[in-house]
Amino acid sequence: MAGYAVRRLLTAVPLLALIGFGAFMLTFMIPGDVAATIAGESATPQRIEEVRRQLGLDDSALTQFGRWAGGVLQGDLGTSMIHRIAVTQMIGERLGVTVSLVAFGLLIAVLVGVPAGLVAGLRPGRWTDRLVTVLTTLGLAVPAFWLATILIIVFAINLGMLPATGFVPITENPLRWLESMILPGLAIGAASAADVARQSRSAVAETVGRDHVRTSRAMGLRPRSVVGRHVLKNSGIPIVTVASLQVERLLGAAVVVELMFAMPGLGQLTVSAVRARDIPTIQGVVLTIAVVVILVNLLVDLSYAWFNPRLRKR
Amino acid sequence: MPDPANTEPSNAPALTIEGLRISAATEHGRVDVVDDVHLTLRPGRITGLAGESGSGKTVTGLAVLRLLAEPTLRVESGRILLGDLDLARLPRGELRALRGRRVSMVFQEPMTSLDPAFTVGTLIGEVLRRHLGMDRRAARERAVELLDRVGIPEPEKRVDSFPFQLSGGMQQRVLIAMAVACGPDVLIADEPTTALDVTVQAQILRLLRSLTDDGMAVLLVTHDLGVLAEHCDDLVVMYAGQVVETGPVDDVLAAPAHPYTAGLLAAVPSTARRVERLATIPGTVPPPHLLPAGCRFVARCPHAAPVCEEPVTLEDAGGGRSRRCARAAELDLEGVGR
Repeated sequence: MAGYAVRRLLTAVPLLALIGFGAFMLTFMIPGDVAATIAGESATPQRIEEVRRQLGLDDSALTQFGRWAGGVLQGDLGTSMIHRIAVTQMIGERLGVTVSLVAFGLLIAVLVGVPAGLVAGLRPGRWTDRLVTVLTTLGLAVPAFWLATILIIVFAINLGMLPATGFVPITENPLRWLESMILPGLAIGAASAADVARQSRSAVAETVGRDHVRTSRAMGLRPRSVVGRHVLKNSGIPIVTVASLQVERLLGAAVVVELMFAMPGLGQLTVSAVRARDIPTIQGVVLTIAVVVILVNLLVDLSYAWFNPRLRKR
Repeated sequence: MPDPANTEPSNAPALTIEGLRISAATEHGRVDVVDDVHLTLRPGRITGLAGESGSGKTVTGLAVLRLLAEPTLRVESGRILLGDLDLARLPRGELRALRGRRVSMVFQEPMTSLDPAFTVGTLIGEVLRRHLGMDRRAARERAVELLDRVGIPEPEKRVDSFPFQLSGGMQQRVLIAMAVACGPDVLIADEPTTALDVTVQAQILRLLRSLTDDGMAVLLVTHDLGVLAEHCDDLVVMYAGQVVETGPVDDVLAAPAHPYTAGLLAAVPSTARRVERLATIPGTVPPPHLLPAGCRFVARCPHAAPVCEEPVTLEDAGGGRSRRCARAAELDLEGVGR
């Protein structure tokens, strides 16, 4: 198992290189000129040219990529061209916000989605099943930014129950952290909860019909053992898979929702970096997110062996 | 129908089914798939429940533990008596406490009937912990003993195996170990050997026989007359959802009282005689929504007469036997010598 994990991590290296290269080249297609931004509005063309040379932007794209990649190999993600701060530092300051938000959204997705899927899947065709189907369709159809707007209007502005903007680190005040998380967490988690509920429903509906579940009943096991142990563990692989896919969806939704709730996370950083064509920052964010996604996928693959013992023999 | 030769108190029925009727939702509406089923299981005896596919034997077996796929299948009337408890009417919670403890079941497909995600020790231990309140360690030790009891070699090693690491025969032994872990009074075995090799079949059936030594009653659902003749004490023959004949196996085989039983016996190829064509019963079982009002076998019966158009009841014939045939008294049906 450990060997498998190491092999998987090694194959992640070329993948990261490819992602880094792809993102780097895409950045060159974005219109705009970072040198002009830095030089200021009233700068002469000569001044802009000088800044460009200083930043090494006059080299070919490949040379620039090589320079950046060389730094990364030494653990240096470079310095933001705009803010003149180390990219690692900027990401470090903001990662906590985004990780909090995505984790909270995932928590909502799992805590709502799995029970809803269970209720629907255990009795397919019943009114509870139809209700869940309607709600999941709704949840998937509603975009996160729209839901965020509605939540802000209703709970922050009209009812004044929760803050409309801002972020409080959990280390500073856990209660205020929770308050600041609820609305954005709901906004990005709703679609994921719907997706998890759907997948759980079909996995559970398939599993309850299996012979071994009937055996559990024939042996007199209590419903909570039959469902909680035998049905859930055998439905685990599709549920964990869909939950892991939510991490990517939530990261995407977080970019927008962070802006709406004025949360200083990676989303804000990314949008401003892309606008300014701040290559080192964009690259840093892309790599960070890629690493998170790769790690999540690895954990999920390792969990498959727990759910299905047949996969343990290699 | 008490057997006069055996009047010990321990020979009180382990389980009695009286007038069981089960309906199914079909495209033709709700129709009865099991009707007026009576049978008695006795301690220490194996009762064979025989019949063609669709005769209602598996549904009858499942109904005992109330494992029918509701609401498609539903018990309409009748009693299933375990002592003085009517399993058909017991509240769910009480029924669950009896399942696996006093009435248990093994199934046809061991490979799909064991949960693939747990070790066999966990699966057997779970039953012990549920009903006997054992802790994890005691349950594991007892699981090893049970694996040994059902003839699994190296039980201390096998207890940590997952079902997929065992052969079909071994899986069926594990399922049997789970089912008998709490020493039930009654075991329903639904075609337990159909999915297994012939040599393994005999081993499993001998295992079931040895388990009856402590007084467990077994209902062995099967369509295999060879299995019945070899391994059962009593026989119940079902046709189109009804019991048509019951009695001690040897007596019924030697002199069947119902033309359907006789037809089944005639259809078994014998090595004693050379035949041009294997005998069959002409026609097929009528579907549940097209059953005649009288004898359900009438259309296929070589002895059919006008009297057979009237409804027939299951009638005690003495000697622990009963049959559902209006002409039983006048017919002299051929059995098989043993």
